[in-house]
Amino acid sequence: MTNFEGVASRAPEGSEERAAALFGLATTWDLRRPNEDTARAADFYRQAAEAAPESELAAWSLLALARMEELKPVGKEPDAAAVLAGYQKVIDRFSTHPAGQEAFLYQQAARLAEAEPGEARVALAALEGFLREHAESRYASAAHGLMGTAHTVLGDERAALSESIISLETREFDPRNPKRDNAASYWSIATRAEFLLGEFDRARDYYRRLIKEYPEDQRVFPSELALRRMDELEEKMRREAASTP
Amino acid sequence: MNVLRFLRGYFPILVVVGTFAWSAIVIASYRARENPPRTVTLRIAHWQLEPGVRKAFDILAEDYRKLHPNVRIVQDAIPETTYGQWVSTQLMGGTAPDILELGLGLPPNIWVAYMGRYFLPMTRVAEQPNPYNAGTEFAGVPLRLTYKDGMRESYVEELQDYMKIPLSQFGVRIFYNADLFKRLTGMDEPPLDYREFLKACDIIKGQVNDRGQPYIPLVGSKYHFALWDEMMFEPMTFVGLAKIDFGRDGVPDKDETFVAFKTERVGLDFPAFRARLKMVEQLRPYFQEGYTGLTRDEGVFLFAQERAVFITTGTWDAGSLIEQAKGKFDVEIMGFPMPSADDPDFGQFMIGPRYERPLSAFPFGVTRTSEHQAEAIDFLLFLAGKKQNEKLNSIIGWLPAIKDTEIEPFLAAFVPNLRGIYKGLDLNVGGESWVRWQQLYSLYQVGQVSLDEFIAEFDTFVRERGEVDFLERRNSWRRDAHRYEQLTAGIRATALLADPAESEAAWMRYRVAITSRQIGYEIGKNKLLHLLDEGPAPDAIGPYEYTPEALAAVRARVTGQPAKEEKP
Repeated sequence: MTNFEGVASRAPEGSEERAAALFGLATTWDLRRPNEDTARAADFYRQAAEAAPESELAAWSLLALARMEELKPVGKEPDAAAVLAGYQKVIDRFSTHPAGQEAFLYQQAARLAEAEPGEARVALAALEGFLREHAESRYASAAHGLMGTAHTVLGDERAALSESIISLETREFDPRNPKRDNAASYWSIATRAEFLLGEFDRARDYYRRLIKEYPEDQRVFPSELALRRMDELEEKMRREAASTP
Repeated sequence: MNVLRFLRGYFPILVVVGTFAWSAIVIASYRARENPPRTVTLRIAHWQLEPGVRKAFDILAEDYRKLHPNVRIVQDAIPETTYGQWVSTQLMGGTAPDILELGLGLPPNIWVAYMGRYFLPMTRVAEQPNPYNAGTEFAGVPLRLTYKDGMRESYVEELQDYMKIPLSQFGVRIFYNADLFKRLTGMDEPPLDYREFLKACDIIKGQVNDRGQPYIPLVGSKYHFALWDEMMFEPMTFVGLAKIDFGRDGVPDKDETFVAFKTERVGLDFPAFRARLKMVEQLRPYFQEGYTGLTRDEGVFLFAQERAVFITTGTWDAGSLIEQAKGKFDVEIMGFPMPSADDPDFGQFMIGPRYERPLSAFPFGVTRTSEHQAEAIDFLLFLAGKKQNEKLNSIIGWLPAIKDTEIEPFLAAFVPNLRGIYKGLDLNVGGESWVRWQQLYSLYQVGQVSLDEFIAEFDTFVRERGEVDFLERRNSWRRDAHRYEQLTAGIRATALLADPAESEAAWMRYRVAITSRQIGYEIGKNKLLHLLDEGPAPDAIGPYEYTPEALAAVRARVTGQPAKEEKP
């Protein structure tokens, strides 16, 4: 903290250096635990944004302010309108910047948090618009994932599943992270296809992918059980149909 | 004369000074012999007081010294009970050893914080070939790909780095006194069928030794019972996942279990849960009296004294048990007995063996304060080399962490089972509910409450108190969100400051972190709260039960008839 304060006081007004020091102070006061001081943090974020208004750090500072609106301390609930407005400020000023796109996604997630159909429709329309304007966005996968959530709220599980699949196919993959794999997504898609929609072919496809690509995963055995279960159910229904006059 | 007077007057001081000088010379010359000039002394600290571990490190250290004569390895073996405090003071005081075993004695989030602050990332090491695999099939292969688990457990997601070099794998099985078993039952090997195993335990229990003391089929203690719970009883609840897995990730969650319980989708009288408790009821007569209050060592003592036949523990105890039995009796290892598919009590629940994920353990990190970081890393790479890892674990009696290594024949039973069932219900909501569970479960384990009494009492308690504990878990969700915000801020800072060559990858890791953890975090949690708000739904279709629409769609496809409403 002392270092940040030193740099902030010495660096010229309007310099990136001063903005960086102010951002450092803001982040420290915001995120340290214990002894955080969110009022001080908010002030430093604002100063950082004003110190270099078109800079990277201005974008991240505005996003951090919006996050502070949403991530209230335990015992306090966020003001939903203030949360949406906070993110909107970032979107308006930095719509093509990663911070602006991140803010957009947080804003739609906030709309979807209460599973209210009216808000889900607003979020869905916004997300569709986002993908039209930013088709190549690195956040496309997350946007499709949120669209899936919106469709679930609106009761359209088929559309929700389609969006989940697109989200999976467009997902960024950190090859360095051995724990970030697709097994959970394969399982989710397979079980939704099987139990919610009866789309057994799709379910089989994803259960088999899980078994083949993640042979040590704990869901392999349940996937094998699922394949047998679907075969047995289909066979039972065929027999019933054959025995019904 | 003056000399004599001088000597007489200063004799005591001369003796003290002379003794001090002599001891200083002896110590200095000893150290000079042990540590010639330019010797690098590496300190490695761990909590493994088992004799095999220290012996193995000494032998491998000697092997290493043959390759690197100027490197000397010194072990600090610290008792388990003080390890966490010792590590904290050493790290904060800047006096930590070069290499430290990670994971014991502190909460996981503290270890993560310590790793971030005090330990070197190992990602570059994990991505490079291990030079000590030259001449093997792993020559040129990145270190992480030489591990059975791909070094999965070494990767700390919060830090987005590999932080540990693990050296072994662990597993849990049943060890038994083969000589005593044969003598008491007449059988060559214990049965793996559950009912036959109970019969064998009955035979053992009915006999006494020459002092009139009853033989004990199963060693019990708080420690040992927890392993029976994990390996035999908890997997019985696997089918419960069908009712509770609202998040559809295939893994049971405490919050999901509580919500399912509170909305009456499952209860403690859920058949799989009753089955779990029923198996405890059937096995508890075979533990020694009062076992729930005993410590691990007290349990081991019974086995070593040839009063008990079966003891469940992990590979970490294998060497120690065999050492204690040496010259007295033969120790063998078996898997856990399984109910048959037509077992009247358990057949419908124990639909497969227990799943075991092969995870590397016995992990070490290199401290930032080490003055010999390169040498410390090199020594760990040496221990993680295929041949050396095989030798290390052969001496200790543990499973190697590296692929395609030979294991001691008696450890063959520990090869993990990759296809199986696992716990499907997790009622540990924490707080008072968990305390009450442990109290009641302890009474149940010794038969002081019946199954129905246990269920009735805990059911009442959780319904009244459980919501308070669950609300505290809600607060924990918020704290977790703040913690992730801290972590992602750190990952973002790394991306902002990254060199151009690293920038693309660094920003990708940031996006992966926020999209997987932060964006939409509240959605999943709120879904559970909405289910609670909706109230009891005992007939609700579970996540892994067919909806009428799904059944109709399947029938339509199979029969070629138009879909119509189906009953679930």
